[in-house]
Amino acid sequence: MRPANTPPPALILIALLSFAAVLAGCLIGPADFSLSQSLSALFGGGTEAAQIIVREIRLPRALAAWAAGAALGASGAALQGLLRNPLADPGVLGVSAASALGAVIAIYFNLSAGAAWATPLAAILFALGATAILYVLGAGRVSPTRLILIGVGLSSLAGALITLVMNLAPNPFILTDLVNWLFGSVANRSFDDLALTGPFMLAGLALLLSARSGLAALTLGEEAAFSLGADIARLRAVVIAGAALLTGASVALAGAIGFVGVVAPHLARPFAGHDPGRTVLPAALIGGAMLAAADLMIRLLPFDYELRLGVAAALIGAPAFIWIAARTQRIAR
Amino acid sequence: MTDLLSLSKANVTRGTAPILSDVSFGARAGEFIGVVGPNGAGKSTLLRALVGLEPLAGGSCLIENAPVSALSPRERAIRLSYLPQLREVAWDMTAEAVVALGRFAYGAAHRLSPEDGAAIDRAIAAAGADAFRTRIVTSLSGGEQARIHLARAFAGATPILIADEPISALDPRGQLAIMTALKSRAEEGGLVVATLHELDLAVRFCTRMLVISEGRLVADAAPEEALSPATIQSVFGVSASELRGENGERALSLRPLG
Repeated sequence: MRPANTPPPALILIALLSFAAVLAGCLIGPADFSLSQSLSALFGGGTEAAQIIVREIRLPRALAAWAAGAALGASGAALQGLLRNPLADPGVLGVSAASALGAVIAIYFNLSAGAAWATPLAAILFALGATAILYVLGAGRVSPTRLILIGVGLSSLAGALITLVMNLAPNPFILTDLVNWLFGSVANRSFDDLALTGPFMLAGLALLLSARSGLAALTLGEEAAFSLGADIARLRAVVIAGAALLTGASVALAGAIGFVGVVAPHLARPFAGHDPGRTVLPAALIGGAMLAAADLMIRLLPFDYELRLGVAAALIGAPAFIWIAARTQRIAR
Repeated sequence: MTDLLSLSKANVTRGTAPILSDVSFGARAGEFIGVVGPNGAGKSTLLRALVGLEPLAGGSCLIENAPVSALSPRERAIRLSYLPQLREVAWDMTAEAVVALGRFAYGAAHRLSPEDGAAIDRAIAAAGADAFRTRIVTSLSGGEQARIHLARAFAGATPILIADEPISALDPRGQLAIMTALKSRAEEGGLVVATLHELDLAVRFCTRMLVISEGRLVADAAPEEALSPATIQSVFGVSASELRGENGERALSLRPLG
């Protein structure tokens, strides 16, 4: 028996689960339609009102939640593989916070009035900036643990600057916008939002998938991976750029949502034989399913004010993060 | 016959401090070269220079007459495999998945051809790791893990194998098993270069010995000649006397000086 070459049935199962989460998001909701009415509306049948609700409200919202989760799951898996640390993710490394800072600045100056893509672009540019800082400071022989500490510093700095921008907010409306956006939400997302961020996500995912075998080799440490023929400098650059594109696009689409990048790869790992390269795709599928399911849950909660997706993700994700951290016996040096 | 691997006047510096000074030697297929010397003498640095991990401040390192720094990562990896001193496995992969990483340079680590499969099987057998190949590597004992890492290094079927302290922290049976596997590798036509602290085992298994002291190559000869009691005293700062076993094999009795 040798390591399998074919995609394991588990991957197909995870893909189906992920698809089911998005489908459920389209079919279930507070509007009073039966499942069959919703299903028919999804494929262009039924009343016009039902079609608008299912195809233009529920579907893009479910897809946005899924895409944001998938992007964070894939980034987390790849960053964990690169740093050989199960706690690494865009949030821990400060990439999410930097990206949020970019978006907050764009919102503050109302840049999106000029061009719709200004906020996503700012989020992605700041994500790239943060990863570039991580890369420059870590490009020598800095240990993964120290890189994570640099990330913690970056995260605090970005958090402080976000607070500064909020302090300077000229009127309460902008402040409300900022706060709502920082909580993380996919309410009222449209296909336009998906079209703005989708290409960046696809580019990032393609980069990460190209790094899969290199990430597997890194399991043995950087020097062994180097001797196996992996181009370590290129691998770092590809993973960091890919994770930045995905994280920036995810933050632009859904705001700052934490912990998916830690939890999704953790759940995906057993299905991937614990190979960090093989974890990227299942982690994306699981991350997508997680946020699509979480958003569905939020919509069904009987509260007057909708719970924010980022808050829900943190309520479930933070205890999971602590549990994973407590159980992790070996942290890569 | 030309050298498979050669260093000439190799210098490595850390800041301004010299770590290796003017080290030169050539190595051929079939040799099992032991590199010995006190802690901090520069043994690991020497191996890392051979692998291309340590930039040379002067001199050259050639693999099959090409400078190691001029080879692409893949070209280098199909000629030379390296077992670092720190043998890390970051994730709970199976032992054979770890060994399969040894085929990285032959294609993606995830798409194994029948040839890759056969090479993995041979490597696992040569390292004596068949009994636990399907287990999770992080759950194995130190000795078992050492065999899996050795199998990983064998799996590339490279002409050159560089191993940094392959038998440190192993029990006597594990040490003998790994030394035997390395010796077989050399007898089958490979070149093996390994740093060792176990002087008796080094003398018994190696075909040639390099003695490093303070970054300089102070002896390069057949094992018993290179590790004479006089050299041991001057390099390691301990007094050594020779004992002979029934088959004429040498054992060293070491005592503090004075």
